[in-house]
Amino acid sequence: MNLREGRSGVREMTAAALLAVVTNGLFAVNNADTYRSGNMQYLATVVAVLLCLLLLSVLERVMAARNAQSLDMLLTGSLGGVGGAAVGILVVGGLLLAAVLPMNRFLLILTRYVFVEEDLVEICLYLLPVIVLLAYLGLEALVRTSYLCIWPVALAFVAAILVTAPGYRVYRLFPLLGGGAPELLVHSLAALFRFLPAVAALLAVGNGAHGVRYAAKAGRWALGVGGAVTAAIQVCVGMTFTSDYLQQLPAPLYHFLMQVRYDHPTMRVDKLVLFLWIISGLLAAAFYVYAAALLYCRLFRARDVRPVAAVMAAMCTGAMLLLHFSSEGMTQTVSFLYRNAYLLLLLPLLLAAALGAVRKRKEVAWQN
Amino acid sequence: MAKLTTLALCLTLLLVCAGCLNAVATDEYSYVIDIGVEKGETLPYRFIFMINNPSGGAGESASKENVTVIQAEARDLYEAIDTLAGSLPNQLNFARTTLLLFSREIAEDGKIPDLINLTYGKLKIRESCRVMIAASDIRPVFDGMVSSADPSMTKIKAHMAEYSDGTGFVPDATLGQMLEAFESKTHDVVIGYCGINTGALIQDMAGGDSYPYLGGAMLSEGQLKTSIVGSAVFADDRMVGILDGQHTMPIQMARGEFRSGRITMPYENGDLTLTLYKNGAPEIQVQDGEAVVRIGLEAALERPLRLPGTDRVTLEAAVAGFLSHQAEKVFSAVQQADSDAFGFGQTAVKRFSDMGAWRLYDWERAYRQLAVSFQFTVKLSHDPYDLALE
Repeated sequence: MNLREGRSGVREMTAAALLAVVTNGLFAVNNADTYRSGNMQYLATVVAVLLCLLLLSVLERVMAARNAQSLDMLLTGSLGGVGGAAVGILVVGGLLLAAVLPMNRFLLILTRYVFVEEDLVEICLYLLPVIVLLAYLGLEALVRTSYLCIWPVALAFVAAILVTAPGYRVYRLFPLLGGGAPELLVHSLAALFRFLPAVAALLAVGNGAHGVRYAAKAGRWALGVGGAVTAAIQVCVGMTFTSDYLQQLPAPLYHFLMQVRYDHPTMRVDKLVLFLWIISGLLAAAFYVYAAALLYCRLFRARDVRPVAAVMAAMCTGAMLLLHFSSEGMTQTVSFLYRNAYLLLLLPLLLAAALGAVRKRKEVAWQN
Repeated sequence: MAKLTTLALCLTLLLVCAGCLNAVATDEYSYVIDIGVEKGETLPYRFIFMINNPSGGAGESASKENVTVIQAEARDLYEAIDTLAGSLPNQLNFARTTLLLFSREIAEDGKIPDLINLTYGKLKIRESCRVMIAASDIRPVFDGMVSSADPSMTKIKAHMAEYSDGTGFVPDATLGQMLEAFESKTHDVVIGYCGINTGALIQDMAGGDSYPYLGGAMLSEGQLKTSIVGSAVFADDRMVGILDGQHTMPIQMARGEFRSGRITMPYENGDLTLTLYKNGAPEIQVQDGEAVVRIGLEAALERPLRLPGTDRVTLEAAVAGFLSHQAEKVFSAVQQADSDAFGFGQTAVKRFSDMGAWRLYDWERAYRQLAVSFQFTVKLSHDPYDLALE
């Protein structure tokens, strides 16, 4: 077996999950849909993070009760070998999609604002080897690299908030509830897909984190801190642009950085911050790709994670290119994915948790 | 070993991310530092680019000879770029564009939204780029802005921001702020207005005769032929009037963008000159068709230095009364032009918790009937000017 899990501490795992939470929380957003009925993203983020924390807590208890050290053990234990593999494929798909969506946004920023005249494929070819290499080296190298990068990335977010602060105006956040409570619920459910992948990935690599207890601990820290950072930045973006304007922006976060005045010394900070964000995006994508590859290997008894990770990274890069095709059908597909992709992860995890809990109860009753 | 591996990996990541794709040397670009747009003769628009050619490489400072003006008539900016690109030795680069100047004619016809949109980001024109309206033809305005001491106009642009902060006479609006105001119904934009200083009167929408000036209502003759005149007031995406510097000041104060500035007001048989300083954020309340604006200021008396028989309270009330009268006069003028230049919509929107209700609410109609009361609180301060009172 060459699953390259190694052994990692809670801090390293938290760092990897934190980067994944913040990257997806901020960049896996469909602006046209999200801001159509006002700006309540920061509220949706808070609700979605709370729901994820609840789900993580339930999954941790069920997995601990079943002595499942990683997600594949819960899936196969609750749903059987075939059922677990079938449902597990949905989780693998969800994790890969979670790797694709923010990287797709970065690709858009790079082609529109940085390497304007460059070919999309050429830029993609620069991103692919990094994701492959990180996923190929395995979990320990990946999370330790995340731990090294966490402070520069945190600094990049702090810099972004500080340099754009003169342009904040509170009135832009109003009306505060956007489209009202029903819309908030819809957006919160859609927002689940920005945070659930980190939960699923952490549980998938639970073995490498010394068990589910420590993986869940890292998840709680990552969701708590990452959710707070994400919501805070969304409030700042909301104070910089009105919701009507945000709908039209292809990359609000980058536009947010470009608000710095020409005569201000921090004007060129945007490029530095962008590249730190991209490093964060690459690490998050590699984390999801590795978790998906590991889950696949465990479910289908593949002995080496490396070729699987390489293939999955290539698939993600292909999907990134595919999502850039501008056609009516593709726009509708992307919009559908952003709205409903959370089901790819939520349903399997809920099903596994529910069946796992019921079966455990039956086993306990039978033993008594 | 693990640390070394991760460090090496980080360095590799950085190398990959910081690389240049299809690199072009700095001196192979012509940098467009200003863009002007006015009506064309054959095609709808004339685009005028002020470009800087760093012929000696990246390190060379700009000289007046390196700054040239080129122009082309076209239907939009991209067509103008394509037209001009064929007759230039270098590639046009917009990464250093810091000023967008529109002619008054275009602004009054409401054509700016047709000319400018978010795709400007593709040209690397930032939303923090400054926008202004030109009173006359663009080319002479550009020519009048260049001096041998500051050929790239870096200093004059920095001066513009300082001037805006120091006088309160002119708003320093950006492309992003303009685009937001065009889209939003919470406020209308007020943009700096400039032109060739001929000494001619401008038609101030708040009434009174105004000369183009810097630093007070007076004729001026400076080093540059182009000067800042006041501000262009917009209603939605259409320019509806001009305000001189002193009439722009109440708008800046109500929007919280005023820091300091001087006013001259009639008092008894003469004139008083005071320097005003912001004293806290303005408070605006909008309810049931009525608005109250409370603005706090500190004031330092400059002239005359001695006012026998005048106490502090009387003088503070007189200054507050004068400022209220000025603000009401300006508000009345912009309200008649359907412009929410004061931004009362920004306060009105806070009463709504639901976007649907706000979108259905006819704020423009409500604004037309809005009655506004301006309440200034002036505190005379800054020793030794206090000694002026006896």
